[in-house]
Amino acid sequence: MSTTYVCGCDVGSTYGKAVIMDLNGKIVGSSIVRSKIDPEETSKLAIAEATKGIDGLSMNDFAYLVGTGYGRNRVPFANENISEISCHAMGVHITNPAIKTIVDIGGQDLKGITIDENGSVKHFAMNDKCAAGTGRFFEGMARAFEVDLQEFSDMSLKAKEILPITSQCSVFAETEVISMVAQKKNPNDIAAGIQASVAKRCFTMLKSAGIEREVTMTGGCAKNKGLKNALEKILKFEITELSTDPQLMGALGACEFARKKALVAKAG
Amino acid sequence: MSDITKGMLAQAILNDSIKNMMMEQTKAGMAKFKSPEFKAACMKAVADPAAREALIKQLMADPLTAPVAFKLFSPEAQAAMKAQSKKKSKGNAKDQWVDFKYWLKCWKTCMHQPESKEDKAKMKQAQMDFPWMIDLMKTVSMGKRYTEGRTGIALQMSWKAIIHQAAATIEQLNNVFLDPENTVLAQIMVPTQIYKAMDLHHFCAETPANILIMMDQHCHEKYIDEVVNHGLPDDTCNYASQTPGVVLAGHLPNPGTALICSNLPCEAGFSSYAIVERELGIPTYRLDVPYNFKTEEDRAAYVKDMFGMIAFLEETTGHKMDWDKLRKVCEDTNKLGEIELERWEMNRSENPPVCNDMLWFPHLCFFSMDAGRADAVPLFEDLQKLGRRAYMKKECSVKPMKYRAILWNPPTFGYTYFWSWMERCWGIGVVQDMETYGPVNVIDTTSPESMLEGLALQWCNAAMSRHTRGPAENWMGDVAKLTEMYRPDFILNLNHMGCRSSLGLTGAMKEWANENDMPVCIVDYSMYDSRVVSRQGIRDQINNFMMNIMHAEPLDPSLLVFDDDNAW
Repeated sequence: MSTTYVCGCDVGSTYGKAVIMDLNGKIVGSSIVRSKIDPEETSKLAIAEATKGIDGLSMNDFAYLVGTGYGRNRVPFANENISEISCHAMGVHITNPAIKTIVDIGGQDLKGITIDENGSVKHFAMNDKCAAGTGRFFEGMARAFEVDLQEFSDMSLKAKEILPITSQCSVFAETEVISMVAQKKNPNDIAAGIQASVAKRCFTMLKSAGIEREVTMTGGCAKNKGLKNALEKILKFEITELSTDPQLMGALGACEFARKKALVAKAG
Repeated sequence: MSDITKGMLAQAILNDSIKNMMMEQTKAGMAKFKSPEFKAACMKAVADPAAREALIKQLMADPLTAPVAFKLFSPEAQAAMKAQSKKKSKGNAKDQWVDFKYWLKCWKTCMHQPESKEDKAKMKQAQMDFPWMIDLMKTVSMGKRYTEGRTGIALQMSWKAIIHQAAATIEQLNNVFLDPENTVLAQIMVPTQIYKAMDLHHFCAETPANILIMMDQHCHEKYIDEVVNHGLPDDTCNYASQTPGVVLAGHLPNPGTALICSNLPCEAGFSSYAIVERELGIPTYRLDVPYNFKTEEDRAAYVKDMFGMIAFLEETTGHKMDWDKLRKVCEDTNKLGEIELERWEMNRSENPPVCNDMLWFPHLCFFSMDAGRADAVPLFEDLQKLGRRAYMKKECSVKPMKYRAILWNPPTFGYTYFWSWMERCWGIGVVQDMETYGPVNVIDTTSPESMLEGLALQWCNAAMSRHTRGPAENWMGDVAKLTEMYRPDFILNLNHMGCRSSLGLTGAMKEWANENDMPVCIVDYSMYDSRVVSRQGIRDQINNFMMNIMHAEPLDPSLLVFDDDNAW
């Protein structure tokens, strides 16, 4: 077993992510892979992908491995499982300690998290019961426009006005969008309406957890520029961008927890 | 027991051909078990694992034995049994004996039969007319769920309260079926002391759903569906919607005398009793708690209303108010209040001896559901003695107790296993809760007016009255006060999604908690319907809070996620 590297693996509902660090906290490998049906398979795939390019390192070679994400209990080779809420907080904290509030939009949940000066969670609010305002919602919306996610995220930036989407439920919202498309409304304006509706949900979640500046976004949807723009309009201040891929924050936090455990073990 | 099985048993009692068929099936099964071939196969199975496997396969294949064989020998059932026997262990031999003794007592209480043949026949008929009565047998399993993993004095306290409540419920059933002329149908949250002083019995209208849910946690779902099918909006609080569902299904015993209800706990409750009143067609009196009852005038209005209720009962039932009897009942109530204050005080110590259901269950039963019972005094004296002993020995009821919590909003009536789970998974002990806590006043027994004034103050401050009819300060002020008194590690807010007013107050609580640096665990769930938020959904919310905010390690990680089908 290598005493040099630690790993954090975030098994999400749509993507599996892995981050590998050395004991000094330097990121040496990372990966984002599409989730498989079996979380164990996803984690193996993500770790294998992240270890590519690190000579002689295999899955069983880590000093410590922490699993996180919804599928964390199904990662049999992890030394420990830690909730993704704590991992996102830690990941963001080590990336930018000035950040106090996180909005994490994953594939199937939406969270508002406030963190203290040590990167510990102070409060959190979570919607994991309905697809509204999650990555799945955006996927459905992009499908309605017959564009990919990247293209969809940029559409709202070109909007001239915001056409409000009144339905909160993702199923009804999709129906509403399809009727607007059928009415020949400007797709960019409809997309802006969609982004505004999700931003409102994010804001509610953030308010529930408490908003303290600086605020950042994590999860796959943090890459959605239209959403960031819409949320900034509601918050009335800028959202801080992270220097590391925001989708990796859960895995990064897990990796940091693993690094701390490995250092303690090494010292002991 | 499923409704189908209950129905078949009931049918078997009535119908000879069904009875014979069931007897024949049982005989065939018994003959098979007694046959020399089966005995030989069993003997062989003891020594030879392969023969054992073959025998199990054979039993599983036989339609006669398959249901039992699957329950006993399938790998899932075996794993669940192993896990259960490990988790249900009640400490040392003495604890095991105490548990067994009370388990037997509980069975004895549940099996209680009236003395005369005629009454026995009436009760048997009642069980056929109202099959939910058979669910009362599950009081034993309710006791097992509350006491799972509990040891020492706490174990005795839990069982004592449960058995006493079971006896009280059975007494109510006997009243409504054997002595309907002298029994009134009553909503809880109405001063029950008055019935007792008038020599009237009462049958609690909430028994078939709201109370029985503690014994059978799915028994009430059909009643919720029933009332929704009749047009009540499906987002109506299911506390309020269940009883009209029972009435609409024809499952509520109607003594035909009078119905006493109130405007509590909220507008949903108010409207639901309008349905009950209409369907049953019996004279009804509604005793209304005034909004913001802190002023003398408002309480005087309530007292006047209580006089009105007495006059109504005198007119409709022919029973007269006996003020001397009321004096005795009020004295008992005062005694209970005194004991209750001591129990609360003991819980302020480092080793609180009466946490979780040991705190709220007896209070709910003998302060809200059936206040003024003479036999509640010896029960509370017993609980007081046990509590004192635990206090002196510094024996906490939650072992080990890692976190002190204050529970806000009502307890999880529909999820009895919750308390045991919180204790064993996280070491959480609820030291005080909203339903239990309220200012306790001494009733002045010098005159009829002073007694009713005292009762009025007590019932205005009772659970779900103080918090739903008073200003928001009653809710928030009490949280702040109890936080100061009990020094909790966090506040557990069981946020019943059917309650609009508490949803708003939860927002206020969050702000207060942020300002005061007090962690709050908000659990969104439906108090009575696990189809809205599953049991695991409830536990997940607490798990997330404990791991992320309290940075706690579970005492038993196997309890973080488990299949509820194996929980009972």
